[in-house]
Amino acid sequence: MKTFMWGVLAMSSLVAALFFLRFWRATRERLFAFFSLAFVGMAAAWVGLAIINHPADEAQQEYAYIVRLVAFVILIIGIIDKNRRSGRL
Amino acid sequence: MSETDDLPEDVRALLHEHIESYEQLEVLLLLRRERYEEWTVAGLATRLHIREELVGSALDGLKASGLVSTTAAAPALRVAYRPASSGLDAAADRLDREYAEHPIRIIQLMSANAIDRVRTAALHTFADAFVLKKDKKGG
Amino acid sequence: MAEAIYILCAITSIVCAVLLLRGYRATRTRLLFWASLCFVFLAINNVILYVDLVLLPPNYDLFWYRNTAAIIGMLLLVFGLTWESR
Repeated sequence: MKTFMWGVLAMSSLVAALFFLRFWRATRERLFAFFSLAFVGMAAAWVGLAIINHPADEAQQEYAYIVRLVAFVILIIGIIDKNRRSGRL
Repeated sequence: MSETDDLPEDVRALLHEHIESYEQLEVLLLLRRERYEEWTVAGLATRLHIREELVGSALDGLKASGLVSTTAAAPALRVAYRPASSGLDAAADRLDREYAEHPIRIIQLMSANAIDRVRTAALHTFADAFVLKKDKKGG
Repeated sequence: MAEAIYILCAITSIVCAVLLLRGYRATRTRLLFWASLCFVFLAINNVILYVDLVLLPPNYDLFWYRNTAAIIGMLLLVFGLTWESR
Protein backbone atom coordinates (compact mmCIF):
# COMPACT_ATOMS: atom_id res chain seq x y z
CA MET A 1 0.00 0.00 0.00
CA LYS A 2 2.83 2.37 0.85
CA THR A 3 4.53 1.79 -2.46
CA PHE A 4 1.30 2.52 -4.28
CA MET A 5 0.95 5.76 -2.35
CA TRP A 6 4.49 6.82 -3.18
CA GLY A 7 3.74 5.97 -6.78
CA VAL A 8 0.70 8.26 -6.77
CA LEU A 9 2.76 11.05 -5.23
CA ALA A 10 5.65 10.61 -7.66
CA MET A 11 3.37 10.44 -10.67
CA SER A 12 1.31 13.49 -9.77
CA SER A 13 4.52 15.37 -9.07
CA LEU A 14 5.88 14.44 -12.49
CA VAL A 15 2.66 15.52 -14.14
CA ALA A 16 2.92 18.87 -12.36
CA ALA A 17 6.54 19.15 -13.49
CA LEU A 18 5.44 18.56 -17.09
CA PHE A 19 2.77 21.25 -16.86
CA PHE A 20 5.31 23.73 -15.57
CA LEU A 21 7.70 22.69 -18.31
CA ARG A 22 4.98 23.54 -20.84
CA PHE A 23 4.37 26.87 -19.14
CA TRP A 24 8.08 27.61 -19.35
CA ARG A 25 8.13 26.91 -23.07
CA ALA A 26 5.07 29.05 -23.63
CA THR A 27 6.20 32.08 -21.68
CA ARG A 28 10.00 31.89 -21.48
CA GLU A 29 9.45 32.71 -17.83
CA ARG A 30 12.32 31.17 -15.91
CA LEU A 31 10.28 30.79 -12.74
CA PHE A 32 8.35 27.96 -14.38
CA ALA A 33 11.58 26.11 -15.04
CA PHE A 34 12.34 26.33 -11.33
CA PHE A 35 8.86 25.04 -10.49
CA SER A 36 9.33 22.16 -12.90
CA LEU A 37 12.71 21.25 -11.43
CA ALA A 38 11.31 21.42 -7.90
CA PHE A 39 8.54 18.98 -8.75
CA VAL A 40 10.95 16.64 -10.48
CA GLY A 41 12.97 16.72 -7.27
CA MET A 42 9.92 15.93 -5.16
CA ALA A 43 9.03 13.06 -7.47
CA ALA A 44 12.58 11.73 -7.16
CA ALA A 45 12.38 11.92 -3.36
CA TRP A 46 9.14 9.91 -3.30
CA VAL A 47 10.56 7.37 -5.71
CA GLY A 48 13.59 7.15 -3.45
CA LEU A 49 11.42 6.49 -0.43
CA ALA A 50 9.55 3.81 -2.34
CA ILE A 51 12.78 2.10 -3.29
CA ILE A 52 14.20 2.25 0.22
CA ASN A 53 10.80 1.35 1.75
CA HIS A 54 12.23 0.48 5.10
CA PRO A 55 11.15 2.70 7.96
CA ALA A 56 13.85 1.25 10.15
CA ASP A 57 16.52 2.25 7.66
CA GLU A 58 16.75 5.82 8.89
CA ALA A 59 20.12 6.59 7.42
CA GLN A 60 19.07 5.80 3.87
CA GLN A 61 15.76 7.57 4.28
CA GLU A 62 17.57 10.78 5.04
CA TYR A 63 18.93 10.94 1.50
CA ALA A 64 15.41 10.95 0.11
CA TYR A 65 14.45 13.79 2.43
CA ILE A 66 17.57 15.72 1.47
CA VAL A 67 16.37 15.54 -2.14
CA ARG A 68 13.00 16.88 -1.03
CA LEU A 69 14.72 19.69 0.85
CA VAL A 70 16.71 20.55 -2.27
CA ALA A 71 13.46 20.69 -4.23
CA PHE A 72 11.98 23.29 -1.87
CA VAL A 73 15.22 25.25 -1.91
CA ILE A 74 15.21 25.24 -5.71
CA LEU A 75 11.73 26.72 -5.66
CA ILE A 76 12.74 29.41 -3.19
CA ILE A 77 15.77 30.23 -5.33
CA GLY A 78 13.47 30.50 -8.32
CA ILE A 79 11.26 33.00 -6.53
CA ILE A 80 14.29 35.02 -5.42
CA ASP A 81 15.54 34.93 -8.99
CA LYS A 82 12.20 36.23 -10.21
CA ASN A 83 12.40 39.10 -7.76
CA ARG A 84 15.97 39.90 -8.78
CA ARG A 85 15.10 40.12 -12.42
CA SER A 86 12.01 42.20 -11.74
CA GLY A 87 14.19 44.76 -10.06
CA ARG A 88 12.88 44.36 -6.55
CA LEU A 89 16.10 43.06 -4.98
CA MET B 1 1.41 29.72 -41.17
CA SER B 2 4.45 28.60 -43.08
CA GLU B 3 4.65 31.94 -44.88
CA THR B 4 5.60 33.67 -41.65
CA ASP B 5 8.50 31.28 -41.21
CA ASP B 6 10.23 33.11 -44.02
CA LEU B 7 10.48 36.23 -41.93
CA PRO B 8 13.91 36.92 -40.47
CA GLU B 9 14.44 35.89 -36.87
CA ASP B 10 15.09 39.36 -35.51
CA VAL B 11 11.93 40.72 -37.13
CA ARG B 12 9.89 37.94 -35.54
CA ALA B 13 11.50 38.64 -32.18
CA LEU B 14 10.89 42.36 -32.52
CA LEU B 15 7.22 41.77 -33.33
CA HIS B 16 6.79 39.19 -30.59
CA GLU B 17 8.41 41.19 -27.86
CA HIS B 18 7.88 44.85 -28.68
CA ILE B 19 5.05 45.39 -31.15
CA GLU B 20 1.67 44.71 -29.60
CA SER B 21 -0.64 46.69 -31.83
CA TYR B 22 -1.10 47.94 -35.34
CA GLU B 23 -0.75 51.49 -33.98
CA GLN B 24 2.64 50.68 -32.50
CA LEU B 25 3.79 49.31 -35.83
CA GLU B 26 2.70 52.39 -37.75
CA VAL B 27 4.09 54.84 -35.19
CA LEU B 28 7.40 53.02 -35.02
CA LEU B 29 7.85 52.85 -38.78
CA LEU B 30 6.95 56.50 -39.25
CA LEU B 31 9.26 57.68 -36.47
CA ARG B 32 11.99 55.58 -37.96
CA ARG B 33 11.58 56.85 -41.47
CA GLU B 34 11.59 60.42 -40.19
CA ARG B 35 14.12 59.80 -37.47
CA TYR B 36 15.75 63.21 -37.60
CA GLU B 37 12.48 64.86 -36.70
CA GLU B 38 10.94 65.16 -33.28
CA TRP B 39 7.24 64.53 -33.21
CA THR B 40 4.39 65.60 -31.00
CA VAL B 41 1.59 63.19 -30.19
CA ALA B 42 -0.86 65.41 -32.05
CA GLY B 43 1.42 65.52 -35.06
CA LEU B 44 1.67 61.74 -35.18
CA ALA B 45 -2.07 61.37 -34.73
CA THR B 46 -2.79 63.70 -37.62
CA ARG B 47 -0.20 62.18 -39.93
CA LEU B 48 -1.23 58.57 -39.29
CA HIS B 49 -4.98 59.21 -38.91
CA ILE B 50 -4.95 57.49 -35.55
CA ARG B 51 -6.63 58.82 -32.39
CA GLU B 52 -4.30 60.61 -30.02
CA GLU B 53 -5.01 58.26 -27.08
CA LEU B 54 -3.97 55.30 -29.23
CA VAL B 55 -0.82 57.10 -30.32
CA GLY B 56 -0.08 57.90 -26.67
CA SER B 57 -0.39 54.33 -25.48
CA ALA B 58 1.55 53.08 -28.52
CA LEU B 59 4.36 55.47 -27.60
CA ASP B 60 4.37 54.26 -23.99
CA GLY B 61 4.98 50.72 -25.19
CA LEU B 62 7.64 51.77 -27.68
CA LYS B 63 9.44 53.82 -25.04
CA ALA B 64 9.42 50.85 -22.65
CA SER B 65 10.88 48.70 -25.40
CA GLY B 66 13.77 51.06 -25.96
CA LEU B 67 12.78 52.05 -29.48
CA VAL B 68 11.54 55.58 -28.92
CA SER B 69 12.64 58.31 -26.53
CA THR B 70 11.17 61.55 -25.27
CA THR B 71 13.25 64.40 -26.67
CA ALA B 72 11.35 67.24 -25.06
CA ALA B 73 9.35 66.97 -21.86
CA ALA B 74 5.68 67.80 -21.27
CA PRO B 75 3.72 69.97 -21.84
CA ALA B 76 5.37 70.30 -25.25
CA LEU B 77 6.09 66.59 -25.39
CA ARG B 78 8.15 65.41 -28.33
CA VAL B 79 9.41 61.98 -29.21
CA ALA B 80 11.82 60.54 -31.72
CA TYR B 81 13.13 57.19 -32.88
CA ARG B 82 16.02 56.34 -30.58
CA PRO B 83 16.76 52.61 -30.63
CA ALA B 84 18.52 51.33 -27.54
CA SER B 85 20.79 49.07 -29.56
CA SER B 86 22.01 48.59 -33.10
CA GLY B 87 20.35 45.18 -33.06
CA LEU B 88 16.97 46.79 -32.46
CA ASP B 89 17.67 49.28 -35.23
CA ALA B 90 18.64 46.54 -37.66
CA ALA B 91 15.51 44.57 -36.77
CA ALA B 92 13.33 47.65 -37.24
CA ASP B 93 14.99 48.29 -40.56
CA ARG B 94 14.22 44.78 -41.75
CA LEU B 95 10.71 45.05 -40.38
CA ASP B 96 10.18 48.18 -42.44
CA ARG B 97 11.28 46.44 -45.62
CA GLU B 98 9.34 43.27 -44.87
CA TYR B 99 6.21 45.26 -44.14
CA ALA B 100 6.58 47.05 -47.44
CA GLU B 101 7.02 43.81 -49.36
CA HIS B 102 4.82 41.39 -47.43
CA PRO B 103 2.38 43.34 -45.28
CA ILE B 104 0.00 40.38 -44.97
CA ARG B 105 2.69 38.22 -43.40
CA ILE B 106 3.46 40.86 -40.81
CA ILE B 107 -0.20 41.31 -39.94
CA GLN B 108 -0.67 37.54 -39.69
CA LEU B 109 2.27 37.21 -37.33
CA MET B 110 0.99 40.09 -35.21
CA SER B 111 -2.42 38.37 -34.91
CA ALA B 112 -0.76 35.13 -33.88
CA ASN B 113 1.32 36.98 -31.31
CA ALA B 114 -1.79 38.67 -29.96
CA ILE B 115 -3.54 35.32 -29.50
CA ASP B 116 -0.38 34.00 -27.87
CA ARG B 117 -0.30 36.92 -25.45
CA VAL B 118 -3.87 36.33 -24.32
CA ARG B 119 -3.17 32.65 -23.74
CA THR B 120 -0.08 33.31 -21.72
CA ALA B 121 -1.44 36.33 -19.88
CA ALA B 122 -2.72 34.17 -17.04
CA LEU B 123 0.68 32.49 -16.78
CA HIS B 124 2.51 35.80 -16.73
CA THR B 125 0.19 36.97 -13.97
CA PHE B 126 1.07 33.82 -12.06
CA ALA B 127 4.77 34.51 -12.44
CA ASP B 128 4.45 38.20 -11.63
CA ALA B 129 2.54 37.35 -8.45
CA PHE B 130 5.79 36.24 -6.90
CA VAL B 131 7.37 39.65 -7.15
CA LEU B 132 7.24 40.79 -3.54
CA LYS B 133 5.93 44.28 -3.61
CA LYS B 134 5.98 46.62 -0.68
CA ASP B 135 2.41 46.15 0.55
CA LYS B 136 0.61 49.38 1.24
CA LYS B 137 -1.51 47.50 3.73
CA GLY B 138 1.62 46.08 5.30
CA GLY B 139 0.56 42.44 4.69
CA MET C 1 21.69 15.33 11.15
CA ALA C 2 18.30 13.77 10.50
CA GLU C 3 16.59 16.31 12.72
CA ALA C 4 18.21 19.13 10.80
CA ILE C 5 16.89 17.76 7.52
CA TYR C 6 13.36 17.33 8.81
CA ILE C 7 13.17 20.75 10.42
CA LEU C 8 14.59 22.32 7.27
CA CYS C 9 12.02 20.50 5.16
CA ALA C 10 9.31 21.86 7.41
CA ILE C 11 10.69 25.39 7.32
CA THR C 12 11.30 25.55 3.58
CA SER C 13 7.92 24.03 2.78
CA ILE C 14 6.25 26.64 5.02
CA VAL C 15 8.22 29.40 3.28
CA CYS C 16 7.06 28.13 -0.11
CA ALA C 17 3.46 27.92 1.07
CA VAL C 18 3.60 31.46 2.45
CA LEU C 19 5.12 32.85 -0.75
CA LEU C 20 2.46 31.19 -2.86
CA LEU C 21 -0.35 32.30 -0.57
CA ARG C 22 0.94 35.88 -0.78
CA GLY C 23 0.95 35.58 -4.53
CA TYR C 24 -2.62 34.31 -4.52
CA ARG C 25 -3.78 37.06 -2.19
CA ALA C 26 -2.19 39.64 -4.46
CA THR C 27 -3.59 38.40 -7.76
CA ARG C 28 -6.40 35.89 -7.13
CA THR C 29 -5.47 33.86 -10.21
CA ARG C 30 -6.94 30.36 -10.42
CA LEU C 31 -3.60 28.72 -11.03
CA LEU C 32 -2.17 30.25 -7.88
CA PHE C 33 -5.21 29.10 -5.94
CA TRP C 34 -4.47 25.45 -6.67
CA ALA C 35 -0.71 25.83 -6.37
CA SER C 36 -0.85 27.56 -3.00
CA LEU C 37 -3.33 24.97 -1.70
CA CYS C 38 -0.93 22.25 -2.81
CA PHE C 39 1.97 23.80 -0.96
CA VAL C 40 -0.11 24.37 2.15
CA PHE C 41 -0.78 20.64 2.26
CA LEU C 42 2.87 19.88 1.49
CA ALA C 43 3.83 22.17 4.37
CA ILE C 44 1.40 20.30 6.62
CA ASN C 45 3.00 17.07 5.38
CA ASN C 46 6.48 18.27 6.32
CA VAL C 47 5.48 19.73 9.67
CA ILE C 48 3.85 16.45 10.65
CA LEU C 49 6.99 14.74 9.34
CA TYR C 50 9.12 16.70 11.77
CA VAL C 51 6.69 16.08 14.64
CA ASP C 52 6.48 12.40 13.77
CA LEU C 53 10.14 11.59 13.32
CA VAL C 54 11.75 14.01 15.75
CA LEU C 55 9.35 15.02 18.50
CA LEU C 56 7.18 11.98 19.03
CA PRO C 57 8.38 8.70 20.57
CA PRO C 58 8.74 5.74 18.19
CA ASN C 59 5.52 4.05 19.26
CA TYR C 60 3.55 6.85 17.61
CA ASP C 61 3.40 6.73 13.86
CA LEU C 62 1.89 9.56 11.91
CA PHE C 63 2.96 8.11 8.57
CA TRP C 64 -0.53 7.97 7.03
CA TYR C 65 -1.56 11.34 8.43
CA ARG C 66 1.33 13.16 6.84
CA ASN C 67 1.18 11.33 3.56
CA THR C 68 -2.55 11.82 3.22
CA ALA C 69 -1.86 15.53 3.45
CA ALA C 70 0.74 15.22 0.69
CA ILE C 71 -1.62 13.23 -1.52
CA ILE C 72 -4.43 15.74 -1.07
CA GLY C 73 -2.05 18.56 -1.94
CA MET C 74 -0.66 16.90 -5.05
CA LEU C 75 -4.05 15.77 -6.32
CA LEU C 76 -5.44 19.29 -5.87
CA LEU C 77 -2.53 20.67 -7.86
CA VAL C 78 -2.87 18.18 -10.71
CA PHE C 79 -6.62 18.74 -10.79
CA GLY C 80 -6.11 22.49 -10.85
CA LEU C 81 -3.45 22.39 -13.56
CA THR C 82 -5.57 20.16 -15.77
CA TRP C 83 -8.82 22.01 -15.16
CA GLU C 84 -7.36 25.43 -15.73
CA SER C 85 -5.55 24.51 -18.94
CA ARG C 86 -7.27 25.17 -22.19
